[in-house]
Amino acid sequence: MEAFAALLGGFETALTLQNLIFVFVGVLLGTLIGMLPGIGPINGIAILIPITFALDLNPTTMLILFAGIYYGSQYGNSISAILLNVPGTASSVATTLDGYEMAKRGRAGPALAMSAIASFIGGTLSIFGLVFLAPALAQFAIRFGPAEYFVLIVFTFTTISALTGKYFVKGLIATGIGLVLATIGLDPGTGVPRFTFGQLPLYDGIDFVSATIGLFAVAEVFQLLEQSRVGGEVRTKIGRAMVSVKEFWESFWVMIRSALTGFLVGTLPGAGATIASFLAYSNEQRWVDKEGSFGQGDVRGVAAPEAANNASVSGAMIPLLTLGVPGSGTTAVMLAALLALNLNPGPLFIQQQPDLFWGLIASMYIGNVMLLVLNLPLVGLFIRVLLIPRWVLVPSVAVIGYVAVFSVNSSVFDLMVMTALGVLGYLLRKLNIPVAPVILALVLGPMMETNLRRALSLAQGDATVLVGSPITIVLWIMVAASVILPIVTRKNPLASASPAAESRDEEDAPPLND
Amino acid sequence: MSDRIASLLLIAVGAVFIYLATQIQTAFFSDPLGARWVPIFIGIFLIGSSVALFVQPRSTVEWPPRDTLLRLVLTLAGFIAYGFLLNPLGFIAATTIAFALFALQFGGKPIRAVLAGAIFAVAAYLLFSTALDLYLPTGALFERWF
Repeated sequence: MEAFAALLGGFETALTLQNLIFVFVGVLLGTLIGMLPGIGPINGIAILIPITFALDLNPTTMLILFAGIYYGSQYGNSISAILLNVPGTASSVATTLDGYEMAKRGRAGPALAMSAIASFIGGTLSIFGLVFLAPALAQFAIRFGPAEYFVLIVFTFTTISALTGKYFVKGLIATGIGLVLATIGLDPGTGVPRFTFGQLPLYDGIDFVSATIGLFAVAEVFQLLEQSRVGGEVRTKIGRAMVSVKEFWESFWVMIRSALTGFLVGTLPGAGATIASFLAYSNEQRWVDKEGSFGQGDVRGVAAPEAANNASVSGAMIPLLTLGVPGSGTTAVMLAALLALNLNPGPLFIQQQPDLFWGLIASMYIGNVMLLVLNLPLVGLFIRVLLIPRWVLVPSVAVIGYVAVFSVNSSVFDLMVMTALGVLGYLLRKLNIPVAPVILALVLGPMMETNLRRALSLAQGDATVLVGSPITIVLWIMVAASVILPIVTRKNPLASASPAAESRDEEDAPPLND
Repeated sequence: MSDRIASLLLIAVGAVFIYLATQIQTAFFSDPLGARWVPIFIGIFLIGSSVALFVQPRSTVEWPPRDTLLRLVLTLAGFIAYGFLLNPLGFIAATTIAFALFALQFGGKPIRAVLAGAIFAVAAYLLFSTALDLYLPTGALFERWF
């Protein structure tokens, strides 16, 4: 078909020596930057933009470089998520759930390898989806109005509360805490300050990087300190560096389904990658997690979010390139770069700049391949990070975290927010309240509120708009299901299958006195 | 028990949150819902889930013994001090001190900790400030010499 022919033309553009070199450089730089705790793709691209502009490349090559950096830093984030339990971006939070558990059990190698492979499969499938489905998907994305977004985000919350951690109620509480934190700042609709207590730095709300480093890195420092004094030093072991064939096949359909989820969700402009990774994780948990091993280091728990968030990258490119609307924060930065180069993504982009469009798609594919080729051999190297003695590793991570937070606003206030959230994160962990829903709510909460109010505004106060379209109705049914099912199936399925899990499960224990 | 205390605290937080939400100024031009309602719903949601937790606590918590708690508080103080010392002492000096302090907490020997801290601080400064052009403070004390 015509699209395929154009894609081949794109490969021709992409496979020139210069472009290949720049894909490689981009992926490499992106991975290195993304590996640093707290520095996500957006920061990575933002940090590297001045250098790329100084190189004065032609637009296609520059876009190719950006795509490489984007993919690279997405993968780099998985590295710090898995090895250090510090996600660099919201879409890596789901990876920490099983990835870090695997690392703690000496299976960091398979986790990293699976992350690379799942990312590759997710990215590849979605690029083909992009080629063949871009116009149709643009149509689908348009049907998602504010009401639909609102329900989608509610669904993400209920689904994640039900599935992260062992207790539904605690997941809900975590979401609630995150939502409380999310409302701090200027009100998006009216500009009125909320819960800022007169502090000017709070007007922008709690910054994502401060929250991530605080809730994950700082809290981790406290927890590690406690463990090393109370529980005895946990000797970190490193196992093999690759997934076994068995693990790969077990995860195969997980990856395919997650890639599909990721691609579809990624086309929705907004927080595609984050929602995609969590939805994929929770879907797969529902489908394949028979023994309750998700959250204890199940390799499929790494495969699902990784496939989904890479698939969503191509998905996010669709609104950017077909509608001129960025599908994620990172594509927003790319949009800025495109505009600076005098290119205007939008409905006519494909017709006016076919070389650029298809060249970009082809190089995204090459970037994917490059990621796999580059990183699989390096997994053995990356896991050596775990061998660094704790008294060096922990302070290093803390310092880099400080740099990451400080680099946002050069603000000591942000550092204090980070520290306070670190204390909160530690307390939450002690109380067995999952941290992932907190950060998810912090990221998606404002979007949920904005969309709710926008929907009501457009309907002039008529609340039936929230159940107005088939999409909203389907989503509400899914919300109800995700809330009712955990309550109805209260008898924990872990109890019979796995004795170890049973001793941890105290849901049916008699009232506690402490 | 900890679950119950936590849930009570959260209920209190929720209540305060709702109260503060009712104090939010209403703008002259506003959307139909306004700035107050979503926080109020969130507060209700938080209180609701906390009550559910109170009614049936889910797990016991092992709190660390006193000396570990002391260490944790010291580390917390270290985090706070690091933040406040960044601007006066500059990145390199402050980081060396903070790094050494944290390393000591995790079992590093004193001289090695300070040395590692200094090396790391300089390396980080070169990487982030010089190579990547991020802003890291040089310190009020040292500014006269640069």
